[in-house]
Amino acid sequence: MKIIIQYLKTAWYNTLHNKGYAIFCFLGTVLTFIFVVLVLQLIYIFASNYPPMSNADRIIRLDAFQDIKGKEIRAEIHVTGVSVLMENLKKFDNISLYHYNYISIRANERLHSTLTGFVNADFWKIYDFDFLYGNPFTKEECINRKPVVVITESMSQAYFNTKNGIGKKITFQGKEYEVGGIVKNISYYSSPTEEQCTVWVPYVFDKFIPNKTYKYIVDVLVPSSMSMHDAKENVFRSVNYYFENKDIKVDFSLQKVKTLKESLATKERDLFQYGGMIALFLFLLIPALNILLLGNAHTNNRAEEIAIRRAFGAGRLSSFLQIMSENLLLVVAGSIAGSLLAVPVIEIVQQLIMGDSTMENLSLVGHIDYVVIFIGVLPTMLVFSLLSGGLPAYLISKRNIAYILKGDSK
Amino acid sequence: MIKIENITKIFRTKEVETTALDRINLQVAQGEFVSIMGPSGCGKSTLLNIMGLLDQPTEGALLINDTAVSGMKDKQLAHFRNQTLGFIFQSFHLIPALNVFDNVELPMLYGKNISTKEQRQRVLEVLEKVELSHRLKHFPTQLSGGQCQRVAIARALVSKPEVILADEPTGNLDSKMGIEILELLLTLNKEGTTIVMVTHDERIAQQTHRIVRLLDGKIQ
Repeated sequence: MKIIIQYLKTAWYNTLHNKGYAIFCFLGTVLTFIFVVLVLQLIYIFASNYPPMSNADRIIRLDAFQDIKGKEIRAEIHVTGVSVLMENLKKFDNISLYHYNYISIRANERLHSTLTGFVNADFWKIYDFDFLYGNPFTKEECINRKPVVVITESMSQAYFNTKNGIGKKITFQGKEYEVGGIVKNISYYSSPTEEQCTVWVPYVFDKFIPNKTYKYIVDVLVPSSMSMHDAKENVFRSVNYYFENKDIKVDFSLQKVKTLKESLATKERDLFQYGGMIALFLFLLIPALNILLLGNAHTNNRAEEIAIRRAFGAGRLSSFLQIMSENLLLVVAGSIAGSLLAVPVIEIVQQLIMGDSTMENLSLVGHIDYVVIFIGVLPTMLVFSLLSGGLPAYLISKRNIAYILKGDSK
Repeated sequence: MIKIENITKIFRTKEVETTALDRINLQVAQGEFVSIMGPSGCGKSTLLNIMGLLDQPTEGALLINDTAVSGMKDKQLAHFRNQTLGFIFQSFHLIPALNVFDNVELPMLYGKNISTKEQRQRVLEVLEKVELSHRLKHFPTQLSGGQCQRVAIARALVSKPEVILADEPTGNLDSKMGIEILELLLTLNKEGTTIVMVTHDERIAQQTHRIVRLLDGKIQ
């Protein structure tokens, strides 16, 4: 313990006495880890059943059907149709309806075109949104046509200047709604739909659906007691029965019944995931090489100290750790700062690129998970520290003590 | 105590080959105070560095306490240095980031497991011996040259080494301070510590038990 305190004491002293190097190393690490955290979070989102898609491997999505000529069948699953389909799918407890559209929403004297989702109460059971304040709307509230909405925290911030906008009012399509729930921001890449909604309204208020150009996305949650094969067969039969009754010849087979996870497992997604890993490696390597080159020159300043320690009994490993402690101190400080700054910096960059009008809609990663910090960032930090400081530390710990003490610090 | 057998040290660069030590044989008995003298570049410091296991000879054998140290690995050498040898350098070589107490404590951090209480006691003892117990919290930059050298001596003594190797310990000090340091070393020697000291100063060397004179890498 005492020796570690000594490592840190000398590391701190050297940091204070070599401010140029320390600032370069610190800022380099901060910038590196802003990107590292972003990439790790994205990899985590892509590689896992990330909320609200926690049930992605047990959700069967029914959203697009083609007839036997390959032409898309539109508007067949609408308000009346969907109740028939849901009747056919009665073995499933949770079936969500989802339709989204851009709507001009007025709130707190601000008007924005916002992507709004019309959903039923089951939507909140199927998708695992993290409610910061309030609650999702219930089946009874839908039936009773209670005008409540759920919004994201960034939407609440943008409209009401607070993350807790519970009880605030928003107006669209001539009707006033009360904010009943605030959910944590979600990433583009974990959104249940291609585009990310920031407002969700009970489906009973959807004025678009009777129009035949719109259709529902129907998601079925397979109960854990039911095998996926049985569930797919069940869904397949129900859908076929539904279209047969409508006298529509649909091009639909058991193989086309897929879970959301299977639907999302595209080549692009794989490419993004593996590309993310390559990007991560480059994000680490390039600044690490810069710090390494500067660190090599800087480490020579500590050659005498290391030689003294070795003369009095320190081994090479101990000397290596001594040098690494300074690098680690700066890298730890830089990576903590980088991790803390990652989300705000990304949001600022997004706003600069995309403009202020979309600020409540965009969220590349939503937030950073603890699991990314502990399982991703911490090991990456150690790798970065070893990459940037390991070689100079190794070289200095191998140098001839007598030469260094004589004044040869080359 | 220390036995040097046919030690040769050759420094090689791409163009030049310099023989710093040429088949040196030397023995230092336990409790002896030996000074090594000679003109600049004759190999005094190289010999001391080899005796201190800070450098490797090109040829020859070195025995300390009847232990052949030539084939030892880095970890063993580090342990041996820590337990058996203490160093005093001309330019003190104190660590500027550490205060007097921490500088003196340094060798004990790499040595045997000694309780923190005992470590502290030992540091205070040796600092008392060099009359610097009132400067515990001072940093090297806040001390005079003589005080720095006293701290360096305290550091060399703290792990109770059998041998102290001093490379021109009075070289950077004025004559008054030099005499004080020599007196300190003489006291340590009387208490049983073997000392090998490199010096340029004939008057100081005369105070030791034996003078070894080197010229062009050979003992005269």
